[in-house]
Amino acid sequence: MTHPNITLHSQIPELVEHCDSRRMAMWAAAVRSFNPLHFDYEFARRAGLPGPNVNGAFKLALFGRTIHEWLNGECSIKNLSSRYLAMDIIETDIRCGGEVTELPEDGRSVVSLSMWTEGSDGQKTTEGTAKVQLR
Amino acid sequence: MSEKGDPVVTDEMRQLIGQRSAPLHYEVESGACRMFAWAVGYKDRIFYESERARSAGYRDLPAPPGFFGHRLVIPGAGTPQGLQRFLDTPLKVRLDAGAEIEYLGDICAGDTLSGTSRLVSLEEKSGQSGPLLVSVTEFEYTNQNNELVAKSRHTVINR
Repeated sequence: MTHPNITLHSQIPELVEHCDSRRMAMWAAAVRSFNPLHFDYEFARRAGLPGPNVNGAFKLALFGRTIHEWLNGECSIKNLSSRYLAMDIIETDIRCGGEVTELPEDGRSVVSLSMWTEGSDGQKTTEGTAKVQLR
Repeated sequence: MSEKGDPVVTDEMRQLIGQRSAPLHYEVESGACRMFAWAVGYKDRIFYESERARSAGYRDLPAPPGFFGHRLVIPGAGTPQGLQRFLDTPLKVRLDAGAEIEYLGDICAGDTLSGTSRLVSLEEKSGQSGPLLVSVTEFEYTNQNNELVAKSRHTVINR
């Protein structure tokens, strides 16, 4: 077992990901969805935004990576949820973190987490939850 | 009511609530799993090398959380869509409000999934910019062995 020491209210180490148009172009290729709102400045400005905004689904996927890296991959994610609170305009560093909210006494079954992201300005842009089976 | 006085949720739209779409076919290709992992920034090599994935107990490269493969796209022929896309609303700006995924099994490279969607609810709300249409759609993914492997639920706001 290579899990970190997990206790109730343990903080999940924060992951920081720089989100620019290159990253969003990679995401577009990954999901095969090419809405220019997420990587094209001109298009985003015409739509009334200060710049392209980061896909919500990208932030949900970051929750998964944050958990995977915290547990060194010794886990199986059972549930993930997200609520998008504010837009993240690109050229931002998205910080992603979380906290253990429920921990079964045997320490081996399903751990519940609260998750969040925030942008470079410190504003919370996503909140969510996860349930993770330790392996 | 919208600016013109028309209801945001029309009777026609309401009839779609509860309906399930025809199944759509998703392929979970190994290259696509790797591309998704790369885009999200994974460094763990189990997402890139099948041998390592198998040594770690997976059948093949795991589909990273949030990835369900891709539908067949034929340029110019239109893409089959879930029911949410059929909503005929003048509110054209579409924003993701949230998502929930529940995994009931694992999804790995080489799997083929069949996905159906169901429109769960439609609601009219008022926002700073005017009327909003809030829709919730549920997806179910079944694999090639007819096992239900995941469900997801998406909330979309049209404004």
